Amino acid sequence: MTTRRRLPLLAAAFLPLRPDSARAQAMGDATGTLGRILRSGLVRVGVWLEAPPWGSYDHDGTPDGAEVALARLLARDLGVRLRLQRLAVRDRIPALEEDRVDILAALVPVMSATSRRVAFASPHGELTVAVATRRDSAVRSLADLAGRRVALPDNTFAAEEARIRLPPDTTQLLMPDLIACIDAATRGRVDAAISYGWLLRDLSLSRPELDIEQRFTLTHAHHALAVRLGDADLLRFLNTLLYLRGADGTLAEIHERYLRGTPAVAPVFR
Amino acid sequence: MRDVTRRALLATIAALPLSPAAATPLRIPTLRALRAGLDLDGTATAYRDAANGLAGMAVEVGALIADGLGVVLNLVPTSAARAVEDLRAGSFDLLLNAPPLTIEAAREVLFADPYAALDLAVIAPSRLPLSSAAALAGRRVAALGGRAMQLLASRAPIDRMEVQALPDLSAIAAALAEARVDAAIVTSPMASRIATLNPAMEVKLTLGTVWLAPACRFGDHDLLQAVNTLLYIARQEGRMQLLHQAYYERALPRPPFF
Repeated sequence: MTTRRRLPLLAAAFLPLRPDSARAQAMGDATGTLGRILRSGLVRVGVWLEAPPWGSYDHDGTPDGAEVALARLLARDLGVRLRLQRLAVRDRIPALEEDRVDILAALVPVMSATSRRVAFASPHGELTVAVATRRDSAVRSLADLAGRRVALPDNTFAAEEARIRLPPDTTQLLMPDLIACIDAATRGRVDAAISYGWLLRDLSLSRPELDIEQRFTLTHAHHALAVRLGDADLLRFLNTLLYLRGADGTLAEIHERYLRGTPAVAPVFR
Repeated sequence: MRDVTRRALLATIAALPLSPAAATPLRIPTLRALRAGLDLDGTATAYRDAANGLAGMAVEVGALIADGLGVVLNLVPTSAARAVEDLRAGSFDLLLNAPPLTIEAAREVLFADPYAALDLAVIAPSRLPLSSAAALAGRRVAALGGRAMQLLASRAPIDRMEVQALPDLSAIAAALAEARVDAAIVTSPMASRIATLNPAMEVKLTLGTVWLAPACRFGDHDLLQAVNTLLYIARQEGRMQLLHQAYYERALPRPPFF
């Protein structure tokens, strides 16, 4: 082979690839997981479907909830297909670390311990886990629940938090859902119910005749999308998306649809 | 002949821009000058002043970033059509007036925090009745071509409009003046400039907020962090609000969470 023949091959080897479309060219720049998502046309989002109203199923058995809606928005804005990966509560962080998912939209609370393992996007929501009792109840604090019967909504973040924080000699009764817990408390079958602040506020407005009120907050947390540590391009894309979707009202619509009311402004951080 | 071909090919290879994947991230401690791309679009964002110097909000933002980094600011001219490609090809390291912040553009570059909040405005001859975005249906509408077009999709009935993508402000102003289009959708500084050039034109309605932000290449997170920190300090000190008021004659709103 002559030098002249070899040179075009050499040149071709050094030439940058010329993708067929502008979209493909744009994809080439992003690094890490964002680059992979854009090149493959698929994003794998880990969701927790035992956490209504953030993650559950609709009447047809299709995944639904505020975090699921956000996952669908993510895929749409990335311009790629969505693969929802159902995760158990304790499997959320390992699934991200082990590269089984690209992003967690799974009600991951922003906590210092977790921030050593994942990178959080700007928080997009908050949740308060509260203890509710009848109005004449003597329960005023966590310590007052010692030796009492407390209703926990099964398979929820609220129940997870309650299990960690309730005094050890509390009798924990798992109920099928949030309303069943409230019902048990109003009927006096339990001394207190674990619930969410948004639900108790909603009930106080829509059903003022119900003998139930929020006694104290068990825990309050902001939650955020999470990506692997070091995935800075993806993290910045998510923060940009949250910024724009916060500004155009899309996040507020999701909040209104699943949680009612206007979302509180989350703390600013990068 | 063989030597000529060989030299030509080697020169071609040498002239090729580095592929973005091979480019190394900018190192702030060794930086001596900030090469910042500027699209001199003739609006309050970037224009030539009476003394033929460069002025505008983007120029001020470039100056405060370079000053904060303690380096010289080297402004590199670019255009709306080429800006993103020039940034990615390494012609400069920071794009001062990047395309408006959209999800689509965020797939191509790293956006820093916004420094300006403008309106997306519909400008048309005063006699033309246009009271809503829906009234644009069936009209010939001019807009800036390229990535700025991404703003239109969610805000105007583009599938029912005859959209003409034009390269710059002067082309849009000419199309309006010559009645080649019924209206134009542009950012508020561009609309103000067109109305100044042609008093028969007026802003009919606005289609929401447009955020302007500097942009870096993917991977340049040290630079991004430095830019965001300096923009944050400028907001905390009130300098950004003063500049925004001075150039755009409107307050810089508190941005949504980011």
